[in-house]
Amino acid sequence: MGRSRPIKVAVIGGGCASMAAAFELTRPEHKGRYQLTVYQTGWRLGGKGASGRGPAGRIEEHGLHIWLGYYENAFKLLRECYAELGAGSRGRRHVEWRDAFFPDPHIAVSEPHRHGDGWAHLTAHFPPADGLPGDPPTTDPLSLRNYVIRSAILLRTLLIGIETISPLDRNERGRDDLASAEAIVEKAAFLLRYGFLATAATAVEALAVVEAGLKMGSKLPAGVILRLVEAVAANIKRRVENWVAADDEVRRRWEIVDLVLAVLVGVVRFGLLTDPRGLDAINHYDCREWLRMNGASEHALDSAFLRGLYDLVFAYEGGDPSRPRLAAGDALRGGFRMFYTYRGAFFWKMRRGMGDVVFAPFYQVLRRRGVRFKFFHRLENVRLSAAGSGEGGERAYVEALEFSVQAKVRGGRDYRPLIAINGGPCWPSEPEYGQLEHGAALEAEARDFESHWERTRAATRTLRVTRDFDFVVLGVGLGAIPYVCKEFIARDSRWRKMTANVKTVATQAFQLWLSEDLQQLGWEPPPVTLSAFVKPFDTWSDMGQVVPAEGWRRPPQTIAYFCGALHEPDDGETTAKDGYYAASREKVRSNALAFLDHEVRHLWPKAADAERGFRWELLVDVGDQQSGQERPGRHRRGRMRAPDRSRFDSQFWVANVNPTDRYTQSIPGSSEHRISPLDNTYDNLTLAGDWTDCGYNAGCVEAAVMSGRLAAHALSGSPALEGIVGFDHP
Amino acid sequence: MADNRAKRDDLPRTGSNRTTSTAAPTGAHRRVIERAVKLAYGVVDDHILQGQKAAERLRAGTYSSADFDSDLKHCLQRALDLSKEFGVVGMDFVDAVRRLAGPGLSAGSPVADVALEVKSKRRNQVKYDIRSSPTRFSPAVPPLHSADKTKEPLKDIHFVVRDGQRPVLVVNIPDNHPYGVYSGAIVDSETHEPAGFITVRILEDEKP
Repeated sequence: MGRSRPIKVAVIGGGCASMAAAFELTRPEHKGRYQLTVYQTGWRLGGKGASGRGPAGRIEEHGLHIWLGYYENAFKLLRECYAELGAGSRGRRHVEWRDAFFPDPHIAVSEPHRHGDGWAHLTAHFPPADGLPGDPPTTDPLSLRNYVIRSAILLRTLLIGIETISPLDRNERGRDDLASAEAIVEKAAFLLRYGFLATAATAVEALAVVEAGLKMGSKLPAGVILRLVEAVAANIKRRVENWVAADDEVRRRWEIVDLVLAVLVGVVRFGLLTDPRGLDAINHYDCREWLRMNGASEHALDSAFLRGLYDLVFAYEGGDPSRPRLAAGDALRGGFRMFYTYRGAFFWKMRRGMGDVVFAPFYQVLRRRGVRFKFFHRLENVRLSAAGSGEGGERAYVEALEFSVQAKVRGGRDYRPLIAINGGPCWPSEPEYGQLEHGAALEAEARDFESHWERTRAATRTLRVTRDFDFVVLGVGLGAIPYVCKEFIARDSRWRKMTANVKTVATQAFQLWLSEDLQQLGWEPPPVTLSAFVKPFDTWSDMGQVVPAEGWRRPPQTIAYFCGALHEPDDGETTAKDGYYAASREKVRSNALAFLDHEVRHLWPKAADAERGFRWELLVDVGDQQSGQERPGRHRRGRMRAPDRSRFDSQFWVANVNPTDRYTQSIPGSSEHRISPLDNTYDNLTLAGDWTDCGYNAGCVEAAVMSGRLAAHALSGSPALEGIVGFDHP
Repeated sequence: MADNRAKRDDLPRTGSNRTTSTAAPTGAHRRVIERAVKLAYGVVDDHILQGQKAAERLRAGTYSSADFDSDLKHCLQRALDLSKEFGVVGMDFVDAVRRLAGPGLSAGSPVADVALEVKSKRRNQVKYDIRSSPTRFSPAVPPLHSADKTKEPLKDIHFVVRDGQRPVLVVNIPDNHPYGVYSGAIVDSETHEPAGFITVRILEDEKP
């Protein structure tokens, strides 16, 4: 480029991808070469990771956010951000990243009891792994060969685990006296019954045991061989039935063995170890379909383990539970990384809201670096240069950015978005109206600046290339692209294919503050994150760790977050109507009420019973407390009057139907239509978001951060692609 | 206004490198590995199939000593077949490595100088490896088998040895013989000791 003056970069959107790009482009190594301005709808950063503080300083999230131990890029940048924040605090109190997260080794999945009412919950503990996420890479574990080896080890571990519950002492094997004949029968029976679940290795091993009996030959009386085999068959027939009924633990373990075997078979059968496309080679298959092709049993395909995987990534097309769809390659890539490459802990839970833990520090550091933030700027259109008008084969480029200014800040000053609760910077759940022109009127009107359907504006603003910006980082959510990039879609078939094939899904979530602890509610295992539970709220996480960060006068004993995909009507007309957002919120409320009355007792048996439904008095209502730290101002939710269903109105729930709030899915056959941040079709534009082709095409923080780092690379050549962990993953 | 605008540089690459190995196998190396992979999943498939069959019979209560005997025989036969196939693959692999490594790598005893004559209308590939000159012994080739036991073995393979001339390995492939890979040992007809391996690959006819 060969320019001496700073390059002006307009960053659109304030989610993970945009913050990552901004953090990279303003590193000291660039010596101020890039001058950034972040344009953000509404009053807060965060995108799908935004959170706010509501009444009593309680944390109100967009949904459930937990970081996983393989989020190497996300942790690396956040740790650097905390280090820079601490270095600049000049002795003032600051928080270390380790104080902001705590390691959680527990995960659980649920499955309905096969006989009768209720659900069973299977809790797993993942042991600590070497290192911490974001540490410098040690070796390169991100190879398929490594994963296959790990899978084989896991398989062996599981098999050995099953053997340990054998009624036989392993030392019995090989004894060749007559007494051991019965032991061999037992052993063979034990092994063969697993063959019932279509697992190969044990059936073969069972035959080997019987073979050993045969080889005793002359040492056995006549007829013993025949009796041996017949006894095996009879024993199996009887015991398999008992086992299926009673031995759930073994069955579940076998379901995992079954799935791992199918993965191993599939990796070899599809030549994935040598395919230059890596796991992308199977992305046109649905994950279940692919596993079935490779021998997984129907039991395993319907197992809680696999359902939990789909639930964690909202893999239901249109939010419809009957349409699970997840690209096999992306699923395997995520699964391998999740289970085999985590560092420190499997989960890392935040001790405060995600906005507080992630976006407040980024905002502070970026401000220090000179980044400007323009809140209340809603992007309306990205205007392209005239097609083919460039001289000398010049490419099309972004000519202008057209915004609605939703509200003006008094005195033309910059909006100051953060508030302090318990000494830490936070984002409020509502704007700081006092800073806005006509703030009182806007507050009385309850203007929802983040709603797609709220189009009222105070002004318009158009940024022009060279005058106002040189480069654009387009970091809005995928759902917004059809609205703000109409010219791209009209002109460019790749953009049409991307918006048609890369799907998003609406999600729903609610949060409860409860007056009894988990044990009192009837949950005995450790606090967990649980998935594969009943729809529509198939995922629950205990979030009790955030209680100290909130501002309660009398703290609740339990905080619980629930979430799931939101089933939407198929027709675009319904979802485009003005009242759709309110109707969706009411639907989520209704779903939550039904869930609490009828389903939550399967998690917390003492919180509800089949006859009376949920004990609504368990819900902690802000209105009952006169907290000194309760924020002044309107409380959007209604006030509870009696301990009945209306008390739910004091809690928090969201319907994420706004285009930018929708979750990015990995539908089979969609990855190939994603566009990379490195794509240079429009030579002053790069894309950032978990919806881009970023090497890890999944809806999550890590993918968004990878995409943001790629966007920075596209503009500045830094960071090196080799330094973006997982970008070159097979 | 946009005459002086900044432009992004074109990048050396715009996508992930999904290749799992920096030294992608090619040519003979690749064929050998593909063959090994195919065999490997054949093993797994067979095990699964056998487990399923055994399980189904057990569930139906029809598993008997006769079934057991059949299963055992099948297991043993399959193990023998696979051992044989793996032996061939092993030899191919060594051969491929030797060729890739160039003439500096010793392959053990010198390879016999044998001419090849294939009588076939079918597309085919023949590979053999003989470690002793056939002039020093009486070579014989037992029928070559496929891993797929439904396929008839290739039976008409023999040596023609005349004084003062190069031995000729003659391979006759019947016109209607099913495509596939047939392999086996070359043995000394006197001692029955193996003296080498031969693999005949009958390829599918090209579609017009």
